[in-house]
Order: sequence, then C-alpha cells, then structure tokens
Amino acid sequence: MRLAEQSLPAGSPRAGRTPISAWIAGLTAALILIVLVCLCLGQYSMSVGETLHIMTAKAAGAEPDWKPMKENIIFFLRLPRIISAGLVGASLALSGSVYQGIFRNPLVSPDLLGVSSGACVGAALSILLNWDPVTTQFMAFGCGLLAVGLTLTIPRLLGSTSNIMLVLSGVIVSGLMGSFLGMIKYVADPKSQLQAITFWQMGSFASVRYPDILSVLLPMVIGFVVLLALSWWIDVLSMGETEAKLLGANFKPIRNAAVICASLLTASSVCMCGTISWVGLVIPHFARMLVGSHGTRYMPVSCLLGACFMIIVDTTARNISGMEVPISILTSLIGAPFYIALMRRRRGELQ
Amino acid sequence: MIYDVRKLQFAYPGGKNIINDASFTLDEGEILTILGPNGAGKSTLFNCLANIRRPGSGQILLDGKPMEKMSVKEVAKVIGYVQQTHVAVFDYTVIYFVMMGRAANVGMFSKPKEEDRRIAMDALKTLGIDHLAERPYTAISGGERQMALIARALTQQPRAILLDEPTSHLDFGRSTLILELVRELKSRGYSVIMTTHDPNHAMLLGGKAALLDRQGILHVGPAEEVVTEENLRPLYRSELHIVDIPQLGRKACLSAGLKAI
Amino acid sequence: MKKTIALILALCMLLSFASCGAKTETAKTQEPAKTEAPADTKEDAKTETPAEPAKTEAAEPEKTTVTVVDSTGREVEVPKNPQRIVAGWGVKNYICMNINDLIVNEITDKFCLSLDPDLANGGSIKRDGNTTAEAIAELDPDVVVLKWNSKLIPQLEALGIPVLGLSIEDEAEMKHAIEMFGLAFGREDRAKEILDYYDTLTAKAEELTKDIPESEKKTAIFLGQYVGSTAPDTTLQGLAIEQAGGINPAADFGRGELWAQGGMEKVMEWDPEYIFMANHLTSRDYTLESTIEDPANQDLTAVKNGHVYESPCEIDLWMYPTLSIKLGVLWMIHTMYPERLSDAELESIVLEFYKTIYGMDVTREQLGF
Repeated sequence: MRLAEQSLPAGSPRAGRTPISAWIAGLTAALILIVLVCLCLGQYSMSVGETLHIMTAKAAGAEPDWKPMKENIIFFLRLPRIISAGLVGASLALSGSVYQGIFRNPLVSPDLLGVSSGACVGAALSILLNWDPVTTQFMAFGCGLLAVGLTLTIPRLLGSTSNIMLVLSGVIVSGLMGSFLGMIKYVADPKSQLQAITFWQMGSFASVRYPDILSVLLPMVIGFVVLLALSWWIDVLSMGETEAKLLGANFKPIRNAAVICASLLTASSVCMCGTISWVGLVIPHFARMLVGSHGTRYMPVSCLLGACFMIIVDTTARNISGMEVPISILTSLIGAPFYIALMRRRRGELQ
Repeated sequence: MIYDVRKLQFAYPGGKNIINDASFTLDEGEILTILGPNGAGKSTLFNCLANIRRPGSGQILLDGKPMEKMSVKEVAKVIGYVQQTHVAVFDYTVIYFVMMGRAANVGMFSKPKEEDRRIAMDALKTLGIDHLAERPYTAISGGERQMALIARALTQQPRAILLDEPTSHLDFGRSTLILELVRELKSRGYSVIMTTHDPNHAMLLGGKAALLDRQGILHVGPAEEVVTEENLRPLYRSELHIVDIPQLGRKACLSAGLKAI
Repeated sequence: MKKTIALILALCMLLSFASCGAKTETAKTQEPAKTEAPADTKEDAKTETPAEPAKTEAAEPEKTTVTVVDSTGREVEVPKNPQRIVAGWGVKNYICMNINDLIVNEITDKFCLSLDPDLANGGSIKRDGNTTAEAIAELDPDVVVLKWNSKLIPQLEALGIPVLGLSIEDEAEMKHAIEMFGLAFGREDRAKEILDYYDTLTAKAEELTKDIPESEKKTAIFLGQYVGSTAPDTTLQGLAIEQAGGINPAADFGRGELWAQGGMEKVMEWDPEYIFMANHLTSRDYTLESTIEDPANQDLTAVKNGHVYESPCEIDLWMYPTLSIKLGVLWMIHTMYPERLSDAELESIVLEFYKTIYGMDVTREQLGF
C-alpha cells in the first residue's frame, strides 16, 4: 500500500554509502601518518631523515649511532606529548558527541556544559588541599559531574528545557565555577599551589610525561569502550526520554552511564592538561558532516578526528614560532570560524 | 486479550478526577477509537494506556500481565506507539530512524543486526516508503514523517499499535489514507487504539468506540451503538446530526450549521 | 540594629587603638636594631637625623610636595616626608628605607614580617579578597605604591591620592626604584647608601669574574616559571648569569618576555653546563627534583654532571627581582667557580648584606643556605 506521496527525487544522501570501516581504516592511517610527521617536528634541530633513522633503528633494536639526547627528545618529549594530545582530542570529541546526543542539543560541548570548568575546580581544590594525583582525578571527575548536574537542573527549575536555555545554563554554571576557581586561587599559597593551578589551567602538553598518561589511561579506556559500545543507544536516547522509553530503552541507566563516562573522559583530559575549548564542539559536527549523524558511524570517526586535530594543533603550538603558543588560542582560532561555517551549512537543520 | 482495563482512575494533583472508573477490553485485531471533547482527558487516558502515565488507581492488564509490573522492554514488545509529532534534532536517515523500533530487542552494549535492518526495511515496504530509506529524516515531508513513525512502531513487532490523533496534522486526503492504513493494520491482526477529534473516523473504522465525557466517565461499546446523536450532542455541546448518505451508503456526522447572525 | 552599630564602632575603636600601640612598639624595636649595626651606625644616623625633623615639618601647615618620576615615567606629586604609606606591592624593595613605622597597611610578605612582625597589624587594603581603591583610600595614605600595571592607579589618581607605579625587571629599573623611593619617602640619604652598597656588590661580582677567559666561561641557563621556560637577558635572572661570569645561551631568546616559553627541546639544543632554578618559581609538579628525575632530561650535560641548582635561602628569595638578586649573582659565581668565591667568603658577604640593607643580625642557619 503506497500511502505516502512520492517524495522529490532523492538528493545525494548525506550519510554517504562509504562503509564506516573504510572511514575508520583511512583515518587510522592518517592518524599514524600524522603521529610520524609530528614526531619529526620540534625545536631541537634534527632532520626528518635522522628522526626516522633513529625511530626505525630503535624499532629494529639496532645499536645507537646517534646522540642519546636525540633519542630522549623523540621518545620522552615528543612521543608522550603526541600520545596525550591524541588521547585528549579523542576524549573531548567523543564526550562532546555524547553530550550532544543525550541532551538532544547540537550546541553543547564539555566546556559549554560547565563540565570542564567544574573539573577544573575539583582539581584546583585538590591541589589546594595537597591531595595526591589520584584523588585529584577523582575530585575533577566529581566536580565535573556536579557541574553538569547543576547545568541540567537550572533549566528545569526555570521550567524551560529549550536548547538555548541549556546553553545559557551552561554559561551560568561555567561562570560560577570560574568564580569558585578564582576563590581557590585567592586562598592558595602563592608559592607552590597557585603556580601549579595556574600552570595546569592554561592547558598545555609541555610537561606531560608517561606517568601522567598512565594515571589517566584506565578511566579513559573505560570511557571510550563504554561510550562506543553505547553509540547506538545514545542515538535512541536522542529521541527524548518519553519516546526512548516507549521504544523499549532503559532511559535512565543508559543516560547515567553515558553522562558519567563522558564526564570521566572530560575530567581525565582536564587532569592531564587543563581546559581546552572548542574541540568538543567542532569535531563532532565535522564528523557528522563527513559520515552522517548515525552515532555508530560518527562517534568512532569523531574520536579519530579529534585525536588527529589535537595532535596537529599541539605540534603547531610548539613549532609555529620559537615560543610555545597556548593551545586554547589555536583551538579557538581554528574552532570559531570553522564552527560558523558549519552552522551556515547546517542552518536549515538547527533552527 | 491485549488490553484488559479495570476501574482506571486518574487525577492531577489537587484536581478532580478526569478519568473515573474506566473499564474496557480490547482483543487482538480489534480497533478502539477514543473520542472526547478538548480537555476531557483523552490524552491522559491514552498516555495511561501507552505506559507514559501511571493511573491513580485501577489496573491495566497488558496481554494478561499488570502493566505497572512490566519493564519498558516488555511493554515495547506489545505496544507500538505513534505520537502526534516528532521533533527531529539530528538528520538520521529514515531507515536508521525506523530501526530504533528494535530497541527492545537490542542488548545494552549492542547495536541492531542485519536481521533488525531487514525487519525495519519490511516495515518501510509495508507502508510503501522504502524509497525513502536513505533520505535524511529531516528532509522528508510531514506526511512521510508520519509514515516513518508508523513504520517505526511496526518495527517493534508489537501486537497493538497506539496512534495519538494521527490525522491532526494531515490534509483531508491524507487523513483518509491513514484511516485506510489503520483498517489494513487491523486486518493484519494488530489491535489499534486511536484518538481522534472526528466522530466520522469512528464510524468509518467500525470496531469499538469510547467516549470520554467531561466527568471522566468512559462509554465503551461497538462504534455504531456508541457514536449516536444522543451521546455526541452533550459530549460536544453541539447540535450535530448523524445522517444517512445514500450516495455513499454510509452514515456521517454533521453539524447542524452555523447560527444565524 | 543600634546595638550592632555600637558594637562595630567599639570594635573599630579597639582596632585603631591596637594599631596605634603597634606603631609605637615598632618605633621602639626599630631603634636598638639600628644601634646594634656597628658597621653602619654613621650612615644610619645620617638617615635618621633628617627623618626626625621631617616628621615635625609635615605637621606644619605649609605642606610642600616633591615631584617623583615612577617606573612608568609618570610624574607624581608626593607630599614631602609622607607619614602614611600604603605598600601595595613589592614592599621588599623599600622596606629597607627605614619606613616600617610609616606603613599603614597590613603586610603579608613573610620576609618583611620576619624583619618586623608588627607590619602584620596594619589596615587591610582588600575587600572580599581583592585590593580596592576604596579600601586603600580608607587608610588615608599620603602615598601609595602599586605594581606598574595595576588597574587601581587611575582610580586612586581620580581620588587625588598619589600613586607610584613600580616595576623592577632589570637593573636600571631597580636603581631607579631605589632613587624614586628615597625621594618620595624623604629618605634620599638612605637610598644613596643602599645604591652605593648595591654598586659595591656589582663591582665585587665584576672583580671576581672579569679575568675568566672566554673559553673557560661556563654556559648556564635559568629555568623560569614553567617547564621549558627560560630567562632572556632582559630579565634580572637571565642577566644574573652573565653578571656571574657565565654565558647564557638563552640570552637573546624571547627578549622582552618575562619567561621565554621555548620548551625543553630548546633547552636540550643549548645543553648548558649549569641549570639554575629559583625556589619561588617551582611548584608542586615542577620542582628541582622533577627536573633532575625527568627521563627526558637524563642526557642534559647539567643533569649528568649534577649541576642543576635551586636558589638557596629559606627566608628570602635570591632569584627574585629585589636587591637580594645580587646575592643570587654571587651564589651563582660560587656555584660555577667555587675557586673564585669560597663558601666562607659568600657567607660573610651574605651576612653583611642583611645587616647593611635590612639591619638584620642573622646567622647562616636562620637564612637557610
């Protein structure tokens, strides 16, 4: 029974027919290439050929015929930096994708929901109280969750759940967290604590070493695995609570698991390098533009794109001039215009 | 028996009962059309039946089991719900959207399989919209979206389909198509519950009809017995007539006309 | 309501009494310190004598002013011999002007408090954690000292309160600041004395290092506030290396920046023989130990040879832009060229410094170096 009217001839479907495995394989190859190229770039004068020689010789287990310092630079300075940038980029992009789906709002991201600034407050508080790094991570995570909870509560208290309201609420909570952070910095001991807080808040990968990566690896892996496994369910949840339940989805457990894991990813990133804005907003949109809106397709792509993007940005930050450029300057410089372009392309769908 | 509703009662906090002692049963392959004036609690009753609201007292047995004790998954395997409107946030393709009807059959950390996709595709074919499968849901017309919503409900492979005023956003021609579709669903063995503003729909569909009046009393019975002038006039507070239309060989509900100015 | 107001008033009165008491005590404790400094009794006497009549002068109606040029080049009219000074920033640089009893605000700097614990009893210039113009104005100061880029400077100017903007990032600014304070606080003689002593130390450093052949000069860099940040020769810390007879390979890198953020790779490219750090610039996650232990740094010459140092001295900062930076220079000389400046010689200069500049009788243990 043909009841629906014949619709207009189909335009090129946005989702595209390229199988997702092809995208993932392609992007993984691109990621590996980017990592290799970025390992060759740095302030220390070392030719690309020499870097590649050291890496291949090292991999083959050959006797070193180079200055040991060069090896240190590649494996102890550049590599951990690249790994952490990749992890942070992937984390922020994935958590942004998840928040956008769960809250049915393409305008949100970890930084806009106040999760990042909440995590910042938690970590700063922990530094203030001289707690150990593991506790710092827990505090960052707890305060990040608290902040996102607050962001979600404000629109409900005001009886409006529109997209804009949620964004405004995020702005309010970020502001509030900003003032908490100010207070913490005010009471912090200027000698050691204040500097630790300020330095880490700036968002830099300059001092990341392997132990820092190891300390966030487990929560990050948990976050990635759970969220990628839930990618289809996050789309079901994007139908809204009532509808998702009628379809047979256990809304609350899935939503809670997803929000907790996304906040875990954000908090882990914040612990490693402070807040980095824009990545969690722009990359998911870019991924959707490439492979369509289906969570099962764009979430893994979003991870890989985020990793590539962050590594490129960080490598640019440490090479663009003699000095290190703060990452957030670059991410906003690239992110803001890019986002405007995306909004323009998608304006019909956002309203 | 799909639905066995017993002495259903519902009141909003601090308000009077808007559903009083509603009882009825619905068998497999039966149609129930719910009629009532605006504000009488039609949607509330419908939402109770769909498991969106919990009744104040009374019981709904769904396929013999008390609905309040069933999980959302169990309910979703019996009832497919088609809401009036759906606001799309993301541009999922129609097939992906329809596949979400498989949620009750997909594991927690899993995604739909090839089999699920086939079921969704079958639903699209049944409704004749399989050519839309790869189109973004945001780029199809309102009528096509209504179809996609029904296809999604069918993909749940339920035994009853609930339609909340399915014709309210459709033009005259397409409303008739929807009614034909409802009858088709019935003939395929689905039970159908539908709310509507138009008594003609109940008469066209036959089956059972339920009138919910302003006191929250539900009158249920065969459509031809319930949809009568004497029942409808107080319900809609309107001078309406049910007349035979010989050309069509059916009865129709018409208003008496406008008052003279 | 009335009760509360009465209570607040009573409290205010009590507090003002307390601070008055504190002031007189300060003056008392100050004197023996002066007389106990035998090497400088003459000099001290000089400064004290003009200071005394100045106080009575100020009480007279014809209040004259003196024009002072501050670190930013602003001309500021300051009342001659001010009696009420608000030390809003960098108090370490002018506490040596014998102005303890003129400072009316609360001082929190630990070193200054170790000199004179009563400085903690002044009025607060903060409201809800932020320094505000109104809080400063309430203390009715004759002159205020703030950081050169403070937003409060125009506000206080609008209130008609003279403000000196202070910046001490290089040698010239340091000297200018001492002169400025001498003039503004009516302590020109003391300022001259301090400058002379400062020049003596500069000359001493020059004397010790002048005949080091270029080929024997050690290379050294100063690590700044962040991992991989260095000090160019436009900073006092970067300059200190050269004054200590070292070669600072980072001298022209990022000139004009406070800390040139080049990253550890830059440091490895320079690979200096010595690495200096400052005990006030390290933080929880960035310390002397973390720098030495970082696996990435293991092949740095300075790390391999154990030549990574942090400025000593527990109660004062030697690698911070105050007069004490000269001690930092001498400490660097002792560290890089111990044969040119022995530990004992360094110790005697350090003790003399604290006596001359701050009138302190301290032991090496108290200083903690």
